[in-house]
Amino acid sequence: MREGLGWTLHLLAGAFLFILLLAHVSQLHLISFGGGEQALEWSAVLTRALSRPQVIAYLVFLAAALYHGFFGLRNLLIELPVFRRRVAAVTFTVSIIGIVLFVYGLYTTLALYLQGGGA
Amino acid sequence: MKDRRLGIRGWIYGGKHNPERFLYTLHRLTGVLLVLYLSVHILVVGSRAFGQEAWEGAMRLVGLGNPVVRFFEYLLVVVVLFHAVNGARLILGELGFTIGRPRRPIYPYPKESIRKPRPLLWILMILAAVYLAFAAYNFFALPA
Repeated sequence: MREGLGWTLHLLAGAFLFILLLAHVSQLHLISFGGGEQALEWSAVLTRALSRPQVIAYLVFLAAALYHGFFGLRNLLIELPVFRRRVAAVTFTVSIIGIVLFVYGLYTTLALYLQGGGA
Repeated sequence: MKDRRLGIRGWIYGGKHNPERFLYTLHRLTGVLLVLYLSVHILVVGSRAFGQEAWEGAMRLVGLGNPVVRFFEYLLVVVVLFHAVNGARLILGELGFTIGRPRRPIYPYPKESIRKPRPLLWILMILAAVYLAFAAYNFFALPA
């Protein structure tokens, strides 16, 4: 095993995502669990956005999904001949995109939570 | 030294095509799709921080309520579920579960590394199919 910490975190994030994704998809997309269009109405969105457990779950989900996704993308890209001598550049680029998306997701999640008196 | 790496062709061409080889390619394809979707999803969902009007505008923009969009939403669930279930299989294999005990390589080599994990593959895919059938019922049979 030479993959190192990055790969171990990728697997850990993947295991977390397995549970979080099934919960997220069921909660928001399946009508039997209260999902579908009713889950996307503003009142339902606001209820979830002001719930502390939901906000914590969103942030864990956000971090795990971005890390798993962009680390996986990096691994795919550096296997391609065109990028094999540009590993550092690929890692840097995908990291920056991941960090920007994380900061935006963090801001939008916390801004609504704090504005709405969820603290 | 000649570079024998296949690049993108290597994602599709797998020599002896067994189910695991196709799952490998599908896992990569669904992974790339999900990274692209995740990026857009974060931007769209973030609109809720800018108020009700921004949120409802974003929902109109993505076509909430449109049957075609609903169909693509179901396809997204298929992609997510496949990637999650196949990922669980890969993690279990990576951690050494389901692959059998190591043994001395004496010819003719038994195909244990393929044969032993295969029941798990089918069990997970059947579970995924059951969930997707339930999801299809939710998407297309129940009123939205």
